[in-house]
Amino acid sequence: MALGHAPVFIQMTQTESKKGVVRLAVFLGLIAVGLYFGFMWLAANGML
Amino acid sequence: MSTATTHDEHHHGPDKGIMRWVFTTNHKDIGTLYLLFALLMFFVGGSMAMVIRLELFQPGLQFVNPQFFNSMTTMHALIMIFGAVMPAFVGLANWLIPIMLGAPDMALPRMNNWSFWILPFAFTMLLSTLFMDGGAPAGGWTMYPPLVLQTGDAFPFLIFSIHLMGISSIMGAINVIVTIVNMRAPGMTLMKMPLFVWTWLITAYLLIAVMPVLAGAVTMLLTDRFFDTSFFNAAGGGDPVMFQHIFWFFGHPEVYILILPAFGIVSQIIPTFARKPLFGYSSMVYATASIAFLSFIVWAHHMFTVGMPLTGELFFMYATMLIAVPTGVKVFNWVSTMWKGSMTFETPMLFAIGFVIMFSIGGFSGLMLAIAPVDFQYHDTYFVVAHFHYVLVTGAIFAIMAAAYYWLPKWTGNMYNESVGKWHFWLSTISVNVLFFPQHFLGLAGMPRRIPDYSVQFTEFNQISSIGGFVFGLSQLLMVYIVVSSIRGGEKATDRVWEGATGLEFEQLPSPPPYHTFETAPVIK
Repeated sequence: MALGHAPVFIQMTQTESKKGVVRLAVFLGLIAVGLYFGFMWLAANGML
Repeated sequence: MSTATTHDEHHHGPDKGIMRWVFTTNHKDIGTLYLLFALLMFFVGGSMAMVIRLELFQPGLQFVNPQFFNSMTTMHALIMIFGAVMPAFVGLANWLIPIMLGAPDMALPRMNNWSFWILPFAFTMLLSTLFMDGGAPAGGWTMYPPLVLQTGDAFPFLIFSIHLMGISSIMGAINVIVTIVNMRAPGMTLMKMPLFVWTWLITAYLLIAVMPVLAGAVTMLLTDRFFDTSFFNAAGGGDPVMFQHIFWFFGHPEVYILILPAFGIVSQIIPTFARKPLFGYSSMVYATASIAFLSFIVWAHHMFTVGMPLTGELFFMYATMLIAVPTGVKVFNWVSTMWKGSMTFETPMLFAIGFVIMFSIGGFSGLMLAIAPVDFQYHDTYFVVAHFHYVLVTGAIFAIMAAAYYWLPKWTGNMYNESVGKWHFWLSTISVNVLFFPQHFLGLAGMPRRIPDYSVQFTEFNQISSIGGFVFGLSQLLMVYIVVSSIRGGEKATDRVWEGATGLEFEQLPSPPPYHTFETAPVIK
């Protein structure tokens, strides 16, 4: 399936919703970004 | 019009030519790309290991200078960890998780494409450092400051390539979690999921928790080098030991990222060839979760010798020993699954049994290293090298080989050559022990790791080890033959492939499965 005409989200035949997929993905992404900046912030402020 | 309806109207097979692979959003294609990339990196990293073993064949400097030797150890580790083992597991996840759960694809297919295609750029950048002024990174894969800050032009390339690998891993992990949480077929409850899926779910959480920490650590190295910060510079009020704490807070869970999916693979294969259900399924799930939790509270056992308070040493020592409990649960469950089973010994089962035995050897030497006063003797010796190669080669890589043999007929529709597979197993198993077992003795006798030259009393064991290394390296070419010949043709595989195989991929899909699978959700009883 070429990227140009692939759906952004795969066909949803299961019990979930697209909104649920996006929310969970964004939430996990924010955790990752938070950990990245969080650890550097703690180190910069002498808390590690 | 919903996305689903649009998709149905454009149902088609793969594109033709190279663009199929560049633009693919199909989980099977992306899984194949990951696996082939991992195989390529396995040989690139392996060739560096051959340089190391060649130089160590006898004392004195023979073939390479010490700087290049240190580059080889550093690059070998980075490539094998981030380029071979992790992408191989992500490739297996891509291929297997949707078809094990009855999902049509991964939840975020475009991000999946992006996750993979970042990797060739990351590793091209990393490998390009071999040709730069000052040479490739040579401060060890752990990148401890201040040594790593002496790296030449390669330094920013090293840091950026690690950032790219981290971004790729995090996106892959998000995709795995979202797929497992949202895309299971109706009736596929969490406790009905195949154990490979469970181990990957837990691994994905570990990845999201620790890859950003590594990224933060290397970003701080970058700012220390180029922007006059002093995170790890004692002269500026910083602390080089803090880097070690941050690195190993990433590094120890990383060890479990490299082994938990292997546990999942072995838990799929042993029941098939023992023709019995997995013994203690739920205890396997809880043991995996326990290992993941404990992996966050043991990091300082990698740095017992830096000078910690006694309380700290004791805490990390006991916490580390505690990991033996859930790991033991797993080993006993695998043995119990085999107990009184109607066992046969096809190549995947041989690799799985080899995994159980030799991973346990690595586990036991890990227990020895967990004992703080003992570690004072073993630290930075070849004993440590022997330990983690038993865990990662006869552990992680043997499990990946087992998985390749187990699912290759399903993926290609063709059986591989069983006698070549068995030759591959026995040559690998004998040579890998010749390679790594003598390194225990070298370490106990005091040979330090990461040195190109050594005292003459270490010569014999080093020669034995190098011979084992060359045979092990050459035997892996059989794997390439197996993969290529299986893709090109051979005896047709049945849909179930193995007599005792269970799971959606064997019970409901043909071999090979069609390009799109489970567009209508299967019924899970």
